[in-house]
Amino acid sequence: MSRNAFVRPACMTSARTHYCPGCGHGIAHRLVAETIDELEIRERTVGVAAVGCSILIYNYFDIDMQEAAHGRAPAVATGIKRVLPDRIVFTYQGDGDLASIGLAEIVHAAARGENITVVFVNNANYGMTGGQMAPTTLPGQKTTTTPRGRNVHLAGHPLRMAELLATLDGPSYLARVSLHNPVEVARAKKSIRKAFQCQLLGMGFSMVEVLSSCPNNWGMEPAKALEWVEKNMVPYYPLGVFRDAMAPASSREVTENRDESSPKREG
Amino acid sequence: MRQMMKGNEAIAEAAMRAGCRFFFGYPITPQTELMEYLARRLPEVGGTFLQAESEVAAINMVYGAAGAGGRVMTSSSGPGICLKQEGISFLASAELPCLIVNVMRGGPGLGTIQPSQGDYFQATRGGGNGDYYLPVLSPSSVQEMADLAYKAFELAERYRTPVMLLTDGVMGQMMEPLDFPDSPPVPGEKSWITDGCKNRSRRLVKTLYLDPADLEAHNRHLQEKFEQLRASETMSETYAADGAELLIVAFGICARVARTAVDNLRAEGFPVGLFRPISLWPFPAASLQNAAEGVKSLLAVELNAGQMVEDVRMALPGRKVDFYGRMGGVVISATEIEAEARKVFAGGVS
Amino acid sequence: MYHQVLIAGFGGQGVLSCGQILALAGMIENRNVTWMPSYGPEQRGGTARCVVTLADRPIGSPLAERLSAALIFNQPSLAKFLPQLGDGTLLILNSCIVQATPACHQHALYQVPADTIARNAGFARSGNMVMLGAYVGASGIVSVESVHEAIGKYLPPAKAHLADANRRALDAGLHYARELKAA
Repeated sequence: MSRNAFVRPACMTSARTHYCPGCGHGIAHRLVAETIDELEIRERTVGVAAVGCSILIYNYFDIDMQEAAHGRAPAVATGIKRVLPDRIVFTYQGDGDLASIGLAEIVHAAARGENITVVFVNNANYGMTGGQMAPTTLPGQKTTTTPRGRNVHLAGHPLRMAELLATLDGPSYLARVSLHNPVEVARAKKSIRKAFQCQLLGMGFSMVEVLSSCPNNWGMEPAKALEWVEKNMVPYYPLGVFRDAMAPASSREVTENRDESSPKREG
Repeated sequence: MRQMMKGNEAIAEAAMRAGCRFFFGYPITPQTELMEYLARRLPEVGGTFLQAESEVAAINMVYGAAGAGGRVMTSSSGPGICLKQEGISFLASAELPCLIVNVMRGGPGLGTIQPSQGDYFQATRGGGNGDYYLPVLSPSSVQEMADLAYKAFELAERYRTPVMLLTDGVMGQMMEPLDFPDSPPVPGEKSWITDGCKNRSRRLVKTLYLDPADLEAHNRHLQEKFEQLRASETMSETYAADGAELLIVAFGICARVARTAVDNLRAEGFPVGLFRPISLWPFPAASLQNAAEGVKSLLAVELNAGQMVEDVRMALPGRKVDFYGRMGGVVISATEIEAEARKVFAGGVS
Repeated sequence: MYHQVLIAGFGGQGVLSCGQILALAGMIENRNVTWMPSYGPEQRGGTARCVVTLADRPIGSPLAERLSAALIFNQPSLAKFLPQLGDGTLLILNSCIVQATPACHQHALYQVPADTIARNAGFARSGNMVMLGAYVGASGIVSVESVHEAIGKYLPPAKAHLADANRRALDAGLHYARELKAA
């Protein structure tokens, strides 16, 4: 392979990321950046950073950005988009931010069909604060605030955000992807690109939920953590497309069929 | 053209005429007419009215919109303003201009929907986390509701700060004739907005400064701005203060009632005057010191347990300042103020 | 001149609009005016009231401080507010609904069968304008021409056709009060 196949996307800065070894944010950032480059929207994109490990995303993207309070990125993005309807506005949020403290904001932005794109990174714990239970922490999963494993009778059950938002009429595109191997990364890229395209076409709210690993807080080697995503997260959080307003009506049923996204698909 | 309007509607109409094109809010009594008015009117001028899912979402929409360069406002009442404090602190730190209206009601908690001035501390001490203030303007007529809405946008954009209009249920509901100011405030320089980095380097709207030295420098910058506001942007008014032996200090609706009390007391021969802070933050301490010179007694009157009176006392160290207040949605009558004033003249108040 | 009038009755009797039209008439005459409604749970409890202040000098308190007149549209309002009136207050009762009590006679009392007069004037729902007309006739606080103009200003375009009926009711109330005054 030529080295040219792996150059830094034009809309990323040369700053080294602060992310831990094996963290999925670097890959997810790159997929968003490649999308912005390919769609040639760098100069009319405004990103919204959310509280969590990825809050410093604006150090790595050479675009205009706003930093939101914890959970409020969809509200901030709404404000931006209403003032500048012809700009491309996206949020980049983690699971604590989006699915816990910011649940009202994400649900209502989706319900309004707010014409923004949300990149939602689900790594099953609060990374920045050191590995506490997230709304997406799996049953039985150990975190610093569920030291005996998440007991669903005490701490409740995880939220499946893509499915939850798929009950609403507002969204134009909802998908769940994973970063646990190169094939899935390539699929993730396609989904993220599609989500941005929906916004460009004015179709309304789009979100891609990205299953990612947090080896440091999970206490695993990076490779082991990817395996854990595949073996534990993917069965609980099935991959697939839950809404695709761009798809022809005939194929929509198929793409929205969750079975299609069963982990077996890998083989 | 002179017209009659409710105070809440006057703020809404004035904000629109001042070029405000974006409103994000959540219903709460007694400010609801304000948002209903804008729901009707903003679309007529190509503006955006959005009823948010919560007070918290509303103020964060204001943040996004202000950062994108929109002239934007929100309005609420005490319990809602509490929820907005998260966003207000962020707006202050990110230096985003906007108008926040608090039509006060009685508290604490849900309290009552009747008028109160119990949010004075919350408004004038920042209200959210961290070291910050925001200009707080307090109208006492429907005309001033409109005038100060203009002024608020002017201050907001000149100083890059959220500005609060602090009023109450009586002011919001009453109707008076008013004229609207002629032309909207000139937009401030906006070389900091995030609207896409076309032909320029990227911009950030943010409040996180992980390096303590950076955060301290940012705070020093904010404090310099607050100092400048303190030096240049106080507003106040005196009434019948010449030769006054007793100076009543009151803002908003209380100042209106006190004015009637002053008229009645003067008619009885009592030398009473009124000092009315219009900017509650920055508090017009120097003007008050001037007005209080030669005055024998001072009486602060508020619809709370004694909040502004602390600023009065700080402005006048060593001076005795009496206080009279009512709480819980009870509005003080002129008769009550007159009775308090007579006590002061009789030397009866300790 | 510093004049405060209380207008009180049931919701739906046109109490608030009666006050707003009076305030508009004051504005037309370049007076200082305030219109202050009661608001809150009372709005939903069926009672409605407002206080209108008209003055030559800037108005201080917009609240009921020293009432010079009261327009009472229902019995509960009479019971509630009569004790608050100073002696000699101009007191106008809608006598179709409100029965005067002995204490009413300490005041300059006008008993106006407003609803009947309104019906006879051809517009049954204009009892509030009859009351306002009676008040203007009894007090002379504003000119009838200003109130006519105020009615036009008050009504939205969709209701502009009701202006003349309301003006006729106002005039009928005015004449009724003048006759009482003369008697």
